[in-house]
Amino acid sequence: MKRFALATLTLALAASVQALELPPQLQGKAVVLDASQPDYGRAMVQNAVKPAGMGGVSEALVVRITEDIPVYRMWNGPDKRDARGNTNRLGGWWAYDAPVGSVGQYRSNYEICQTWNDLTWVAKCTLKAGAVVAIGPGQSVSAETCGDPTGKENYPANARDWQTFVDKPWARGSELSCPPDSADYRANPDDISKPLN
Amino acid sequence: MNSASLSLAEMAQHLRETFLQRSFGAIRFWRFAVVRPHDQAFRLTEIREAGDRLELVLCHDSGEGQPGVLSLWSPTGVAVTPQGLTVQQAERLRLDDNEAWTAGENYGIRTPRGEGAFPINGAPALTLEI
Repeated sequence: MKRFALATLTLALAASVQALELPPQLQGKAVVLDASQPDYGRAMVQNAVKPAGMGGVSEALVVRITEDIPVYRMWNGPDKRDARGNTNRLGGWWAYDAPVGSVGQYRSNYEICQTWNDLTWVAKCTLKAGAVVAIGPGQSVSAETCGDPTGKENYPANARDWQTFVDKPWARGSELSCPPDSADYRANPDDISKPLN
Repeated sequence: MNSASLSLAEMAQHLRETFLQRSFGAIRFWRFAVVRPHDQAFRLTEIREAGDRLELVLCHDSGEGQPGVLSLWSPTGVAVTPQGLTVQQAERLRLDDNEAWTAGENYGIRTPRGEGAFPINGAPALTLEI
């Protein structure tokens, strides 16, 4: 039964991969890998693709970056640490499009619950040539996943703004290069492309 | 092994043998995602019993920072699969500022944003997804 379910999932993932095409922003800067290629597994695409309501991406392409590209991540800033003393500057979810618009629009576009990330700072790092990552359109997030009993905080799937999944980036220094966090900026919540004055 | 009938000590030992040091990227109390799934990753470094409570000591996968404790009161129905760890039922769970508990057919949650309830509908009380 488990083997059947795994085969079904593999077929579903393969079918979804065929339906996607490399987005214009990555044309000439990345190549699509198929599941038969040895590097495919490095993307850990099974961690990126999630069912409706649970975030992540709804379907994914596994790509090898062929030319260094900038990637962006919003985070809580250097002064906010979790109960274990860590910041969330590094994490699995990135965007190859620079952040624009208000923080509320960004939260909705990338389906990020309020409890998960304050989205107050912007880090710009470099995804290096040779990196293997998963990219795809954002999956919906339900109010229950966000932990919002009022039902108000939920996000629809978004086919326009693709997410970039870098599995365990802290262990992939040769694939993701970040400057010191002093290069990051505190975002203006009304226009996150600009620093807060 | 019938995991539903395990004592707390047996459950702790089972987890030490099967899930210690395994990396996981999602933590769910029923269907509430305590952290953004697969944004960060963690490992269980120690599993303790304390009265009716199971304490799962977790560290960030990078090794950075201090350990934290995920507590489960009266857990039953533990299962470890290639997809991760599930605990089918627990009276209460807590990690940092997030808490959830069984309330009849529902589960209650309390987060820094507030408090409320959702139907359980067969979801396991805890999921640690690899």
